[in-house]
Amino acid sequence: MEQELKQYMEEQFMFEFDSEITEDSDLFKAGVIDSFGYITLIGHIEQEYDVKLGEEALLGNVMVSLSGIVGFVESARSRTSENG
Amino acid sequence: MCGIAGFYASPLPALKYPDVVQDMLAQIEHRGPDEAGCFLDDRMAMGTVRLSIIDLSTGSQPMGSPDGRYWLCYNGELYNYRELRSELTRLGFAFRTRSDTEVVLLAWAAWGAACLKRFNGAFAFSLFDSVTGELHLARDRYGKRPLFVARHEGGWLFASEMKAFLAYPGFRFSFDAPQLASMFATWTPLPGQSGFRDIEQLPMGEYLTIDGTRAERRRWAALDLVGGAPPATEEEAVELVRAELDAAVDVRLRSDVEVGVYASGGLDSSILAHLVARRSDVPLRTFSLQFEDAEFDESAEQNALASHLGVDHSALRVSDSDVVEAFPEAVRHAEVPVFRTAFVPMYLLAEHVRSQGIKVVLSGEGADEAFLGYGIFKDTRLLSEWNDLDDDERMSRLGRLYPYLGHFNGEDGQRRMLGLYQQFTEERLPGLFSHQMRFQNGRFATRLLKDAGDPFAALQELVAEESGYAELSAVQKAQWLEFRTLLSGYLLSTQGERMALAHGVENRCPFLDPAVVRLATSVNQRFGDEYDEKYLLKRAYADVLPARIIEKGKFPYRAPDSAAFVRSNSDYRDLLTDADTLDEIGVLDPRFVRRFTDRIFDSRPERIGTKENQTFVFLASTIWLHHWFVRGHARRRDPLDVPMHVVDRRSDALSA
Repeated sequence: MEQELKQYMEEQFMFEFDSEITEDSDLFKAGVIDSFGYITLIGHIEQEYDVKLGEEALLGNVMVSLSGIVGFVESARSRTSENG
Repeated sequence: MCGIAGFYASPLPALKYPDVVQDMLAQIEHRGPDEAGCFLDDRMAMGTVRLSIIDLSTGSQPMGSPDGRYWLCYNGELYNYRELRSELTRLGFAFRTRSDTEVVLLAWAAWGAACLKRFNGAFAFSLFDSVTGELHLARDRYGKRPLFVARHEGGWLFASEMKAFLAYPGFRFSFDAPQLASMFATWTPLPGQSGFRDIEQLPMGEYLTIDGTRAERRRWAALDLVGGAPPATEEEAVELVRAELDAAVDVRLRSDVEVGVYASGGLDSSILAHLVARRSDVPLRTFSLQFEDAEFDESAEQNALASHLGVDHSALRVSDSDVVEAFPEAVRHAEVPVFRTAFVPMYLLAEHVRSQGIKVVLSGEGADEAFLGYGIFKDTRLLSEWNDLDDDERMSRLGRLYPYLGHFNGEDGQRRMLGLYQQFTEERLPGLFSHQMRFQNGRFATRLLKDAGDPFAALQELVAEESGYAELSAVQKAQWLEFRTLLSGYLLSTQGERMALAHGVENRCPFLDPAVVRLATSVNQRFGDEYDEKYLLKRAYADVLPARIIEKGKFPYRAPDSAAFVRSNSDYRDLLTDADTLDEIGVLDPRFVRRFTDRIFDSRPERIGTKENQTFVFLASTIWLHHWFVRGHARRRDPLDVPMHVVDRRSDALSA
């Protein structure tokens, strides 16, 4: 999933992850992500990975870096499968 | 309306002055096709092309004071010229004409630069004091009329439009990369910027005095947004709004030619149409744009207004291909990089208006800045209160921000917005809190440049140096930024007067009357619902305008951007990625330009967001600016169409 999301973001935002913009970079601060891109990204994640991002995740600044998003989605999915 | 051009302390031989100034004026003849005149002295030369609107027969320029000391080349209109004329007459000044130009000239003779504070108008002028040898260049308080100043070989060149410099021997244009970065990131030139090296715009509300080899810039009008004490009741506020707008419209109808109105179907221009129609004996003529694409079209509101007011309405239908076709010529008149195509339909509309025999139009610019009509003011208010609100309240307010934007709405939309807005609740760009979200999107366009540096440095410096700025509220800072950047740098200029004057049409903006702005700052956010933009304006005119116009809410005027180019003209892919052109321009990053252009042409339009559209229009306009200005293809070789009236004070001429 990480690889797929990475590719999606690189294509969508027209940049490459490298030594300056890493998987842990805040993509807002790095100037990579914009408002339309952010809303599209959240929509993509919710649809593609079948998770719903709650207010806590959205306000907690986890959805601004690749590693934050991957971590959140994986733990949300494992919670779902445990519960299921 | 008029255009002015000239030079001071030039190393050129005085013998060449008449030809050079005439050639400079020929470049901007569209601004004033009715008459031309120039003033020549050993120290300088300046001239005017004139569009005759007030005192058609005797308002000719250049105009000299009776004692021959002061000489004026004037572009603009002084709306309170009758009142100032009476005052000057009482002081003993005798007038030879009925023109506002003579009032400006004698006001300077009477009060010096202190006269500027008394002026209610849209103007830019050059005034030469032949006794002291000083040249004064002045510009109105909101930046309605343009004035550019260039340094070249120890001399100064000045003109209403930069294209006049193309006619000055040896002057060459070259892009200024840090200024381009600032424009790409913040959407518009900052008050002093031109986008080109060695050319400055005289900022609004300032004047420049050049004395021999020294130049000093002074501000005569600050932007005061603090406002006075508000009226006690909402009823009183409504009455005041009506009274000030009545007065602002009255003085702007002073004209010896017919005045029309740009009526988009929005609230502001509908108010103007109502006010002018009420004052007119013959049916008022109103003008608007209609678009093929329903997303941008407001014809239902326009028709409702026209039938309600009984005006003679004329709409120009603009297609994608019209926008693409007129784009290069419109950029030639805009002269600066542009972030969206909405100025192009305005270029076509002015052409249409002029073909209908109209030279003066009133338009609604300034209402959104003065009365806080833009969403960014609501955003700013919400973001500045964000940390004091709980999540439910945040969600509820988010839902009320942009009722017309689909992706903001519905439960999912608002929830996603929550995460977005959270990113902008701290001030990361000092002084620019209100605009951080906009500027975040602007960062993308700076990737067009090889080296964007810090694209916000110039704007941060501007606000850091502005006295009183730090004490403004968050919303007032947003308002200050709108007045000083987007309003003057794009709406009044690129989309407003440059497009109108391209066809010899003068636009006037009653909402930018100083008294209207002063009143607005006193009543804003004091009455009604803070999320109902322009609440008092709606209240003041709800009983005289169609309900659908009052209730519609803010509908931003837009036009199709990159999609129009993709659909209509695939040549643009080659034009934007031409290796020789990119190499010549030098400051653009060819690798990113190619990748980005491919993305635009190979993607479905719905995948292209705002930042990509803006970047596309910035790129396309920069390529055309290179063609017109750096390569010099905007240079017009034909002489002026009208004979030149020459006042020659050169020593050779006097002895001859």
